[in-house]
Amino acid sequence: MNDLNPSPDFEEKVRHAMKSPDASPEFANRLRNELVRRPVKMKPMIFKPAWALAFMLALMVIVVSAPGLAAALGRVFGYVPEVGLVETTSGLRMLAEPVSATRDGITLTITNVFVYEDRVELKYEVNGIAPENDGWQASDRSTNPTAFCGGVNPGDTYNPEGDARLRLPNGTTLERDYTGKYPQNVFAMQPVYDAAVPSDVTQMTFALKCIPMARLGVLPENWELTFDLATVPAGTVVGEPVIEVPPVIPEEVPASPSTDVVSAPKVTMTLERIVPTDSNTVLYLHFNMENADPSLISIMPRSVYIIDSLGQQIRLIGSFVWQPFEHQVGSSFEFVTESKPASGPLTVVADQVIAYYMPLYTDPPQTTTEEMTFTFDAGENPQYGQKWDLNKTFSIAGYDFEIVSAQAVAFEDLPNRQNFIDGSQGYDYGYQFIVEADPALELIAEMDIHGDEAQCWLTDVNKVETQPLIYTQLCKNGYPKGQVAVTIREMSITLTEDFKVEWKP
Amino acid sequence: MIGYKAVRTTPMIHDDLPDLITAAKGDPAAFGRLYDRYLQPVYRYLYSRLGNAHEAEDVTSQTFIAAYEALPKYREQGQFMAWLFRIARSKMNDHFRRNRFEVELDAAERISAGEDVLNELVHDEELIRLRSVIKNLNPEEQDLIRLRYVADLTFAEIADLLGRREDAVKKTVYRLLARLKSQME
Repeated sequence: MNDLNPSPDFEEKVRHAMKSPDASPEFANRLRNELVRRPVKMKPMIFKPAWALAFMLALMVIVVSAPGLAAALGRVFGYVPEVGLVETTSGLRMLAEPVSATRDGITLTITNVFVYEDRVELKYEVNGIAPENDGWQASDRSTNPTAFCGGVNPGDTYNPEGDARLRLPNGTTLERDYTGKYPQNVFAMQPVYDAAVPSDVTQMTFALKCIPMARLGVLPENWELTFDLATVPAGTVVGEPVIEVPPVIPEEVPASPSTDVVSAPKVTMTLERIVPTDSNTVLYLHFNMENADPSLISIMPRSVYIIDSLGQQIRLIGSFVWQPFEHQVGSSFEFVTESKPASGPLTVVADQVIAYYMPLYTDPPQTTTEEMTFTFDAGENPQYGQKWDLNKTFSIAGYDFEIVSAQAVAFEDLPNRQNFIDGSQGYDYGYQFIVEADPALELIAEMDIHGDEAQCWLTDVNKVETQPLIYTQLCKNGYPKGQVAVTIREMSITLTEDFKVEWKP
Repeated sequence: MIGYKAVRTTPMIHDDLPDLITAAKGDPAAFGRLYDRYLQPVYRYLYSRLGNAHEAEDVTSQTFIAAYEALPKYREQGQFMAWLFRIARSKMNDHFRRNRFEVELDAAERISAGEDVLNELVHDEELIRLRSVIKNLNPEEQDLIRLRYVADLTFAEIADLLGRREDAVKKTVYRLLARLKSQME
């Protein structure tokens, strides 16, 4: 063996001398189940109709019912991993200890319960489900969705079969909240109940007809677990202590995509809370846009990092909306550092922030469906590859964009078709729109093709740097014919400035 | 060398990795497939550093959960393995910081001796000596050996992970092997 030519035999010996065992199948399966059941905390910018509807409902209710900016001072928070902030300003009741039950190898554990004055937040987990019985993994999940608890066929309304219910000692049953008051209530295993539980209740019963997305008729059903509540006195910190960051007057940054005709709104980023833990640091950031157009619904940071006292740049992960009771939906976010930063001052930097506008769905609406709709004549027999020049101009929040053309395409033409791991699902034909705007905006417009008969749904959004947006929507029953109407549903732009906040302990 | 060929890791196929990563960004089931592909190399590497299944499972869990949450921000540039191992090493370092100790190679050896295959091999004097020689390498050198021969990373992946040139990594590993061999003779 010379310097650059080790003998394969000796490499084999080294490999063998260092050999470590593989992970056990039990562990591998358990972790896999946990992972595929975890909520996707940061979704791409694609709103599927069901999500969009839930989001809009949540937004409308919150805009109406938001109590206004609550006084941050004097509020007491703790931080519980996997749960988030727990407020104990007025005291609360919480799960005395986790409870679990195992039936036929399936273990259901209630891990957290917090009973506030006006609501109950619960979290549970299930382990031991084989992949073939797990609706997130099973091969027939898309072809036979109703074989799984809570599954619905495309287009059907929500099926609450897998919703956990809470039964109080007096027989009252609490149902999971769907009014949109608590928008974080999107995960079946983290339900929120919009109810004021009497103060003398110290025990509840968790009742679940079937495990969400588990194959029906195969796994144990009709679960019931009784758990005890412990009282947490007001002011007690639950979990890790939270550092409240005093409000400072932030530096105002004009939103970058200003054009000659748009007066740029002022965007500010505020660091509200910090939670140092043993392994990382949790940060709560709030984005605000002054003199924003009323059709703005959310400002979403896409890329955020911190620079610690040693100059290390550490990415922040998470970026999901946290308890938005005091802010408009989609402006306050929880982030976690990828690794533990050095102690001392921190600089938080957001270098990509997306602003979302939905003028049709704000309360009150900022435009009409007619104003956001365009049509083109596809004729009675549209052919694959056929193209129509449209040149339809729209303006949302002062940002102009043009629907340049439409073309009849098929699923195989989707730029991101590999994202659809279930294939076309029958949505084989539709129209592809080219949308142009000021390249600095990185504008994305999302739209829906009308027509019940055509059932248009599957959507692909492709925006590559400064190139025009390619937006495709495919339909189930061939190409929509005749006068095809399309409505702009949403528009987003990217703010490219760096937003910075410095914090000194 | 009894049983070695039978337990050797099958080389991984990376051809469809970019598509899988893209799918996994919005689909937990697709992430499950990524997990299936990378679980064992990550676990073996962590086990060899931590020396016991309990802690290796704990840190492996943290690694994949962090990867799952960070994946939407990962930009595919052919460095997924390096990215994943960067997370694993970060989680492992956090673990060491919390527990203030690091398992030495012979501790891992003792614990892993429970494995059937190793039971047969632990009596092989040559391997015992080789382990002892590897143990005398400095931690960075041991880590290189682990990345290459426990986790089965390619030289390019190790280079991405460590921020070094591929040929430099290759040369370093081969020089280490030459040193080990000379110490064994």
